Amino acid sequence: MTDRNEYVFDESGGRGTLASSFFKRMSSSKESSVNDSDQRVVGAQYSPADALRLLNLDSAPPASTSLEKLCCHSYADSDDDWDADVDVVSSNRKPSKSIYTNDKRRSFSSQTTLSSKSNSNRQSQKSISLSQSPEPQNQYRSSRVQKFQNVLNQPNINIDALKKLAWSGVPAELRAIVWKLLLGYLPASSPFRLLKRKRQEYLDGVHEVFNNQPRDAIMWHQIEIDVPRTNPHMKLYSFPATQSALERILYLWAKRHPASGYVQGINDLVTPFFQTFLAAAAATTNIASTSTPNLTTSPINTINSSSTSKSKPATSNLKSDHACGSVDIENYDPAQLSSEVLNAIEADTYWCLCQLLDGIQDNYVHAQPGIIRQVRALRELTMRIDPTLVDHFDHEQVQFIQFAFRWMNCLLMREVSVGNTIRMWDTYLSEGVEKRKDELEGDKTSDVWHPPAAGTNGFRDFHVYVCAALVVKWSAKLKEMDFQDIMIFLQALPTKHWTETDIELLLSQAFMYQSLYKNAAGIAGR
Amino acid sequence: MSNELRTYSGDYDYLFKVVLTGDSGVGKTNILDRFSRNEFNLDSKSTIGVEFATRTVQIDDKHVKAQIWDTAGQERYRAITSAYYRGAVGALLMYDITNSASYKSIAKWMEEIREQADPNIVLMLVGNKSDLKHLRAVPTKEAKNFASQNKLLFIETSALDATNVDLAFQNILTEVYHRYSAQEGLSNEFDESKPARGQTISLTVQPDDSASKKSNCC
Repeated sequence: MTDRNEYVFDESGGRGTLASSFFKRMSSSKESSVNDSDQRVVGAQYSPADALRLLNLDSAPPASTSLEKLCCHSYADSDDDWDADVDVVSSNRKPSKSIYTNDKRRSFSSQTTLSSKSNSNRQSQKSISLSQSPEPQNQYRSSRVQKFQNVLNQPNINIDALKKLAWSGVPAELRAIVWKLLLGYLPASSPFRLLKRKRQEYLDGVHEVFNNQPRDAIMWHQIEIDVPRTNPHMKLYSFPATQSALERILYLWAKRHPASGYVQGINDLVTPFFQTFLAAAAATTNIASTSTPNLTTSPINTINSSSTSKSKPATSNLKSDHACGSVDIENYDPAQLSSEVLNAIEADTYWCLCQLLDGIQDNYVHAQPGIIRQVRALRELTMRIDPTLVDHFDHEQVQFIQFAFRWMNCLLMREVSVGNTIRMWDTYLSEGVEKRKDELEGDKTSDVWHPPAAGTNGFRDFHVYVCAALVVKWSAKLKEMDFQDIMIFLQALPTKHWTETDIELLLSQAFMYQSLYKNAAGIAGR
Repeated sequence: MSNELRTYSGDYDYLFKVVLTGDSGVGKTNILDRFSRNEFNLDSKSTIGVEFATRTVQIDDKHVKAQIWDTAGQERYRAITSAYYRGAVGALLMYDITNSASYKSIAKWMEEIREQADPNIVLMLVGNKSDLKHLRAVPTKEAKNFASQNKLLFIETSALDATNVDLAFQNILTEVYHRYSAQEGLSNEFDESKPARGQTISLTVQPDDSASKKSNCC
């Protein structure tokens, strides 16, 4: 089994091959990959056949008709009419207007206010399509969106099927809804009925801890000094509306989880949720204010209509962009949105943070045993992958805890950009399945997709494999270094400007290690 | 000592491990950035666990390399960070002169270090953010008294405008140098202070150098 994995990877992509060429080669070896159901391609939990089919499409289907509705649904529309006939702008969308084309990036880069950081980030938010020319890219993209839509449009959403798709990246415009489903915040059937209640529950909780209970001064002080130090290089996190939302979320979470309370680093973990949900809401507002007045006049869309009137300044230069997710979120002031929308984003962020941290609570209780376990597992794993690297660390007296503690505590968020973290979380959230493979009904590709064991947690287990891939990536370099240089290198990795392709390659590598070593004694995961 | 090898970072006569402690937000990371890279970052993030930096300074005619461990200030990380106290020969106990709570915490930090570190460890009380004069909450005199009562070195610094930062490290390293070099027979313990090996560079000191017996490189 493990040999075969390695074999396939070598044959089709090769160790260390760039993902782009990996997939390109995949497309030229179509028959063997599709038909050999025993083969498993490392690095893509969705099947190679998927990638193949997408790349080989001669004519892509048009972008989904209800796509924007899906993505923006929860912030535009607070009722349950999942299939309401609001046909948003997709029919107007031209390929050249897609946020995924190079044209778009060029226009962004002319804005001098953007830091190089945010530029690189934007670049990282390009389509997961690895093809170079715009046409196949769009085809790939729209076909992927279609696949998501097919799953999402079912009355009872098949979460395992959704995970299978999402493992290799969720289209930005669908991310908010997909994440909520994957986290179990939204139930797979009649998803939106629950939202209203949960959002109110959050507001009540905030009211309770801020107005009816004595303030925990130490905890509040820590949150107060950490929030301004959260992603300080991004304008989004400097706005008062952002900071006060994060303060409320963190303080309520800390009060409700006294075993850990607020622990530094959790402030980082809030931001992918906040940013993703904010982007969905901002895009909704953007669409509503430019091309679909019927959305705002609909009596059921009170949240949306109240937000539209305030959505002028930052989005004005983006009005031509129809797609959800096209707002320049890194410089977006949330105060443009109505308080109702903001409250909804805040509540959703809170509940999703709860779901995430529930799975890794051991990381933040006294003595942080979860992290200690993860670091130990990382060492064991690295020992198997690259024993001479561990020998070198031992010789230099470098301990894994010295550099990997933060990798675990902040889920590598101090190492990679928020945009790339979001992409990583697509995969982390898709780890673990509820049903066995043969229960995946009507899924034609399940024969080449081997789902991970039920009960695994991407943030706890798969993350260790990602960390192993990360440290092994620089093995040759590290082996040349002494203690001091190793420490300084590992605590400031050259990953800040990584693109999404770099991240996907890392995830692929981690997946391969997981396939090879997950049953090995002492290694994280089951 | 005019050997061109002196310019290499691995070249030194002594290696001292120093830790930075103090409440969250007092400026530990910034004082270290100022000392090790002459940088000040208004946008710095909180320290998670422990971070590491070094700089070599000259004391008398010796090159002393400071290997500095910057610890997270939050209580939750204490279990992790206190492991780094072991083997340290110096510690900066930092507070923020505009924040009296951070000053009150010093006693707690001092106790914790004395429990876990080498009994000969040199402690220095450092009041940071001295540029914020108009917000001062901790009088210099009070801190100075506390320091002398508890046998701590004392200095006020500003990582922002660089006031006294180099001097603070120079003072504590000099004190460590004198304290340890004055004590014969401590060389073994002294060597234990070396947190890591790998510094296998050859010394450029002359063979007759009286201190060479204590070098970590031998």
